[in-house]
Amino acid sequence: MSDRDEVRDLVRDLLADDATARGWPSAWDRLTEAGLPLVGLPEEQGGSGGSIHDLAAVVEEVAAAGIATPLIENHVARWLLGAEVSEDATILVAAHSDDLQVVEGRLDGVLPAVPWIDVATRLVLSGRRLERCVWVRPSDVRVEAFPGPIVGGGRPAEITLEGVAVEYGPPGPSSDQVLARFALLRAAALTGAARATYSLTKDYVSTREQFGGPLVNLPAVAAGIAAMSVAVLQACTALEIALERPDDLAAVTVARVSASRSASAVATAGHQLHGAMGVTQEYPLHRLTSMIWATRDADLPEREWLRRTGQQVLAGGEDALWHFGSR
Amino acid sequence: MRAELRHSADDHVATLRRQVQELCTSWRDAGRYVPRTDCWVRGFDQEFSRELGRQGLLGISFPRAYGGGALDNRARLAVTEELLRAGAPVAAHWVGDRQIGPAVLRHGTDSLKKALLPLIARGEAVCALGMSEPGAGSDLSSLRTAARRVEGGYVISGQKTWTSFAHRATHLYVLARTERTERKHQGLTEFVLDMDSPGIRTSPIVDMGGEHHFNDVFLDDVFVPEDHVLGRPGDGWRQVVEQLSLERGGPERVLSTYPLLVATVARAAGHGLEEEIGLLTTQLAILRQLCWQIADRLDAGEAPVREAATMKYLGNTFENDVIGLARRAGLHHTVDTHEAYQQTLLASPGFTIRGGSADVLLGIIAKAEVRS
Repeated sequence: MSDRDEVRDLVRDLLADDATARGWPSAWDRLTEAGLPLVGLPEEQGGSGGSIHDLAAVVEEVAAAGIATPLIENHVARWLLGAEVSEDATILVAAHSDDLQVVEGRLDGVLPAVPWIDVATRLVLSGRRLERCVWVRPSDVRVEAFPGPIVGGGRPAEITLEGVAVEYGPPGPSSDQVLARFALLRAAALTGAARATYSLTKDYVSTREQFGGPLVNLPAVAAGIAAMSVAVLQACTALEIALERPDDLAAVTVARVSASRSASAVATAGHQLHGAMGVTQEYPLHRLTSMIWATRDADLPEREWLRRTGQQVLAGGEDALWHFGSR
Repeated sequence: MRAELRHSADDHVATLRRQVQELCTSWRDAGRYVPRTDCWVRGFDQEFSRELGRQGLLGISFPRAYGGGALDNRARLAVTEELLRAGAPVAAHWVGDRQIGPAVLRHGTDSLKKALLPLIARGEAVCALGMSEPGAGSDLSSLRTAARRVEGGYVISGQKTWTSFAHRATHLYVLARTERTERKHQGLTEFVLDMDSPGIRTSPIVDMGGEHHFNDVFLDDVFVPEDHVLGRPGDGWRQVVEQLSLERGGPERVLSTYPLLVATVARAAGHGLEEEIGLLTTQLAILRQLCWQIADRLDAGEAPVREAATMKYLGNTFENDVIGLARRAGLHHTVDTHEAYQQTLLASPGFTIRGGSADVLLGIIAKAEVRS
């Protein structure tokens, strides 16, 4: 699979607008039947082939369809374990925490908010204090599911590991590379959801009539549409930066932060322009909003991404400022 | 094959960058300029512009026949980015190199091209913009300066305003009405005047920082020869919209306050500003990427009007956010940074006005979006 447009069309067709495709797990099953969760992993390791760019296109389109899946977590887990995984139909979940450490062959640490643990067969972990990735079975860890409504799909849980016997994965990506992969794919999901929110909103204000004409005739509404367009272009540019340098943590950090902030602005404006219609279960906007809210807060808090960026620029001066994430 | 071409083009861009960096460093080290905010509007030094011309760094995208470098927009962006990054004194040639040169190239007569473009490429021409009028600001098409047909050309009368460096200009671009029509967007024509033509008078407008770059320009029966008309008489609106929509997509819409950002980063350690610096760094990377995207699309023969408007809108926000950071880092409270800070602050209200106000830009974007 090398033609990105084909990948996009395939995802869109699979998830085309019918109610049954939207619920968990039927949408995931369809994606799995088509081999899409394995895009971006080499065929000789049981993947579907294709590049990181193809994978980002899949992630973007699934997010644009407003369907919450463990696509990103599953990809990172399989990428880390490589050929060691034989069970290709099950879901693996990867998570990152600098709190994790191995003491005398046993793993300790806390993972603050891991989604999808209830459907995972393995939990694959990375962190700065681990020399390489490790994996555990969910039954070996303490899982405390968060109560209350779920935003964006899998119910998150706090996971505590106390003296868990370690299974090491193969030597592979560093913990920074893992963070970079997460960041790039989150940026793709945020961009996809932001694009879809914008297109839904633009259609709505062009067709919904108030004050004797379509809403967009009102200058304030037109200005809102323009502001959304600005934010969407920002998110798309952010993703472009990440895809030009997918292994450069600085570039994907820029993309991650910018896509989060732009998508958040798009979500807010989308609801404002939709009025009350946007907050109903029936209307599709909330799926996209939830996708944006859940994705922007995954992995690391935004301030942590920003703090790391600022520290590097303060240490490296003008040169670091000018070149951070750019040519 | 394509990748190879791209690769050698990238090498060329890197060479141009180094060339500009070396020039700016040597001038700065010799004390010949101090990096400043708004260098493309306020840093006027024709000697520097001539040096750029000698080094082949002006008119870079003009054909060789007109003294240009026959390179693409990517090459030009590498040069302009590095000049702005260095806060170099580029105001003397900026408007000619960016805007009037390309407009003459697109729409000018052959004799005007031969006369003007080599001057721009050598850093000898100083071009000023006669667009706004006392009664025509954001609503440019309501302008009243009139051009009357006479034998061999036109005679122009009226008043232009906000014309930067008209008092030092060699050439003045003028948009004037050649026909009274029911629709005010019709009947406009673009001209290039020699500033030594009889009947032109300039009068300074001093800005709130005490600086003089703006002027009123009074045109009193100024004769313009026929070959100094740009494009088709009466078709000026379409041409000026094209000119404006492309000029706003350049890096000067992002980097006006960059020297202040550099000064801030150099002094910000220990102020707890890491997150804020992280955010501005992120935004800078996004905006630079947008500039390159726009240059690529121009090279591909497209007209990225919406992207250029978006870039300017976001770029101006960034320029102002730099001032916020400098404040919180206390730059206004130290002797060696006070001047740079105050200069920037006093220039800042202009960022979101010149080249299309923020509100007008949102209007352009909304229109483009709803149409699509």
